[in-house]
Amino acid sequence: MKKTLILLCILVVSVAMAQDPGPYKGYSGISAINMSIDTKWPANAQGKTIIPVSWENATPANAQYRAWVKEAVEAAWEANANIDFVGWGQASPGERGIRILADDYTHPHTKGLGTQLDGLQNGMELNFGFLGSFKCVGYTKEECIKFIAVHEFGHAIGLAHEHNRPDCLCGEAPQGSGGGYYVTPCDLYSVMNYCNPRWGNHGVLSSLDVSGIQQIYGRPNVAAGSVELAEVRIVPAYKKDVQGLREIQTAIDSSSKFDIAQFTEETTPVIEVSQAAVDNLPNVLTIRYFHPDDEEKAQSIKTHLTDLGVSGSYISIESMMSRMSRTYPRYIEIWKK
Amino acid sequence: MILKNLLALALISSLGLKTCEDPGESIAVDQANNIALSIPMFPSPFTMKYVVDDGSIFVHQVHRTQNTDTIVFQAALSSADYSDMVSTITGFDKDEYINNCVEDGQIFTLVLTQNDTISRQIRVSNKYNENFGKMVTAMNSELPDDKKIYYDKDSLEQLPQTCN
Repeated sequence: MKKTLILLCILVVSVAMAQDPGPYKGYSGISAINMSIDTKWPANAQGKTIIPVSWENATPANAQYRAWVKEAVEAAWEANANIDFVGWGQASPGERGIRILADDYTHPHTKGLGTQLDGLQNGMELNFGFLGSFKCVGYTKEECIKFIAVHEFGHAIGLAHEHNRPDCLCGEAPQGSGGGYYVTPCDLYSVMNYCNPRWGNHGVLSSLDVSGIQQIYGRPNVAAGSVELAEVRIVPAYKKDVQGLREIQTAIDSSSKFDIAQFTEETTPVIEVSQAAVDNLPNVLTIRYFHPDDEEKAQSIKTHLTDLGVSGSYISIESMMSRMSRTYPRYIEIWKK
Repeated sequence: MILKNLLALALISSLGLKTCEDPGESIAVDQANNIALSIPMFPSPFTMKYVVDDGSIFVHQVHRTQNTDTIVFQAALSSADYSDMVSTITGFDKDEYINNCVEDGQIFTLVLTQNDTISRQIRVSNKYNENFGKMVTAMNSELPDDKKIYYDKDSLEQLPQTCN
């Protein structure tokens, strides 16, 4: 085999798994949902994020309240993002996922964000009785339980308080962790904003909440094996590979599996994915294609990426792999930070 | 239904009882010298505010975004000693006891006003503090069960103190 065939190309594909990002498209990757991106729950091979939920103290007496919580969470987060909360039964020892304690005196809270709650006993506490100094006033008990549940589940999927953002400060002091990954502009009407004039936006995600959460977790009910790409950034390894990369671009674009908002063709060849490239492309899918003869190079870059801390959330998108295999049949790796 | 309510009201009046919403006899808080403990019920827009002066305790329900303030309980101090409470506040070694590893939860702001001036302000967020516990115990001794302040040592000590 010719040595010149060793490395054909490296593609860096930036993905914001959004629906129509609309006027907020420009915010993707810049830095008003406020999230701790490291606490994002991983998606499965089909791009869906499945999060187990269980109760520490499910009883017949609190069945109605638990049902309200589930209903509110499904209507808000599940209906608008590619997230599936599953289980909802009694927690067993060692249970993974979000574990909720119902306590009639507690001030509702979560002990961290997103995956920090994974398997954590009493990781979320909700109040159904409002018997202590935490009261349900001005609203029905059902409304209080639902509004609070939507907010706390926002934390459970990694969202910090919207008003913690330096560009979103209001009359309330920042509380809890800072977040730091901003997907949309500052959103007064976010369910995560203490300053929202409608408490918790009455349990209904604002349009920016919807836009933001879809950029992070994708749109709901995406068909298995398909993925939505707001932007595909193609970086050729060598100038001479441009033609080959355009063929790949055409292949992706013509696939019914992908909804591409736009392609961007980089002019600067990139041989390896740098730390800066990874950091500057939040919510990134890095897709690398290697020629069949280039196993050694593929492994070295894989090691390099692992060293950069982007391993551990390997995902594969079967349809894309299949599609691309026609051109480069052996090595296609898809990493998600 | 209306008749039933009227009868209930008549019974309350005849027994000389006050409803929580009724300010009743005109006792007013000493605006110049008091201790105010605010407990925002995040994520809701309501705050429970407990105000104590040398002779009385008031509980307010405040709507933060609508700027409404309703007194939901008031009583003369019976067992708590106001000067002891002032001493407790001045005895705090810091102004802030904050745990940022918890989202929402138990958040308190304690303000001591003396001679119309705020002389001490303490913020406690999802942390247990012995001194603050004493303050809550003193206030709770004056409150009916449904107005008692929830500050639970066991649950607070189980909270993560370092964020992952």
